[in-house]
Amino acid sequence: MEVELLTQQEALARRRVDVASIFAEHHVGLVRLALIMVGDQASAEDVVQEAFARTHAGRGRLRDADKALAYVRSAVLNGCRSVLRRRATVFRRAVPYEPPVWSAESAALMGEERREVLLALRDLPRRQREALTLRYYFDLSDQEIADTMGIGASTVRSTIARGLAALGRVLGEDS
Amino acid sequence: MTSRVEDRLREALVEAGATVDTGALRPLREPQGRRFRADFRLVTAAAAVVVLAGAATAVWLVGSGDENRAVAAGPGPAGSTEVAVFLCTKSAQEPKCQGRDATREEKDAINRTLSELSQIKEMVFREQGDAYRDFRAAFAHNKAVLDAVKATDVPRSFWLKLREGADWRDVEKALRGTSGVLGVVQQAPPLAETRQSLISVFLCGKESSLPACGAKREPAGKGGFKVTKEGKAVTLAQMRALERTIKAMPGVQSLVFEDKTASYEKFRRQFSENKALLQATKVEDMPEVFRLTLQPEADWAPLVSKLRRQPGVATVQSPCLVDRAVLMSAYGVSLPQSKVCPLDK
Repeated sequence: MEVELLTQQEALARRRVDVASIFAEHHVGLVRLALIMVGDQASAEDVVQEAFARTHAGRGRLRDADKALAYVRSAVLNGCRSVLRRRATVFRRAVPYEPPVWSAESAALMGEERREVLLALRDLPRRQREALTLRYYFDLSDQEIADTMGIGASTVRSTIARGLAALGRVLGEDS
Repeated sequence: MTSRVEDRLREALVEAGATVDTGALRPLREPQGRRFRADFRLVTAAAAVVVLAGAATAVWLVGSGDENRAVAAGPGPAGSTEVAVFLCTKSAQEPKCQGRDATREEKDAINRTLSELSQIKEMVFREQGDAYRDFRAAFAHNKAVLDAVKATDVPRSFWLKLREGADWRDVEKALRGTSGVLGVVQQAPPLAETRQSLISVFLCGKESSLPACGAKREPAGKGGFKVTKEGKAVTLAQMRALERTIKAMPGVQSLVFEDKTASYEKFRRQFSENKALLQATKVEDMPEVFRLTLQPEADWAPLVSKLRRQPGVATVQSPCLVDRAVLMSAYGVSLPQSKVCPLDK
């Protein structure tokens, strides 16, 4: 009986994934995701670091290897949401202002056309913005996006459709 | 089939993502001393506001229904920021203490570092014996805690009073990486008022992430979770039913309902010093709360567990939580909930 239990546990342990290694492996990608959400590299790096610190050590093992990356991404998205919320309230004027990459004064020079798209994206509701980014930047499937955002796959589909339609209207493109 | 919008979006995102300067990327740092800090975050949270895992439910500890009666924690008047720096003990469950007491050299080094800080107005050292004696007096009502904590478990500490406008986090920063430091804790003025008889019943807010409010979670990582479905706010019918239930409970002396506005008003008065916190908190972030006092001898444990099971209740703050928070923030002793509140589980 005991032997059986041990083997089972061992099998489970083997399937577990080290979150720290996922962070290391996907560090740049995660920072990019955060940057698209929050607009500047410094905040983006902080978000990823914070998510890493939270999930690290002790609780650093996930049972389901397939969901691990989704989990890490979702931790980063959560961090981005808090940054945006905080900005919307307290720190609007208090923190040293880092121009977002899509602003005209940003050091990261971007084409006018691209900027227009990113500005429109930023003005979308949070869910649409996140779903569109995960789809069109990371090429994730409906299910992967659903896992990352903690919503259903069908909601992902409708959210993306609505988001695209809204973008099309703002940008004056007919999809 | 891709549309023009999709193409433009893809291109814009690629370009935005490409602005990340990979050369300047700071490497990820492993968190250090996670346990102690995390525990103390809980205390500060308990003393101030904790937004429950994304839910718009704020929880804070209060002394009593009337905060004018609240007595400031430890020495020092309310209003001026007070900070405790606890030194390592042998029994502290803190990796960076390496299972030993802070040495004389470490203590002197900490003393020197603190003396150089311009933010500090006053500094007092509290010896272990004194700290233990104060602790015994403060926890005379809680035998479980008295039994669990030995004299050598209570750390020595520096108690600092900061100058007007100084940020306690500067103290924490200055000591970061200094060996022999168990933890740095900002003291919240109303915390010490330990009302054994006060129970707060926090009601479910909108979009709560608590299972008690009907939210569904999926475990993600040990101890972590993600919300797959948001919970519902308490309904009027549930509130009325709850009020009836509470009034029918034995030993309940008084019952006060605080709506969001009342909660916010009180919160605003309590944290009038903390501008950042106030600006970050809106009336909608406040929870609705039933606060009840019990007759002194009433057995609160069964009441608390019954209240926790009522629909529409997000969480119930038992008198014990206050004990745990005080134990950590004022005495630097971190005990699991089960040790502080054996009745509570």
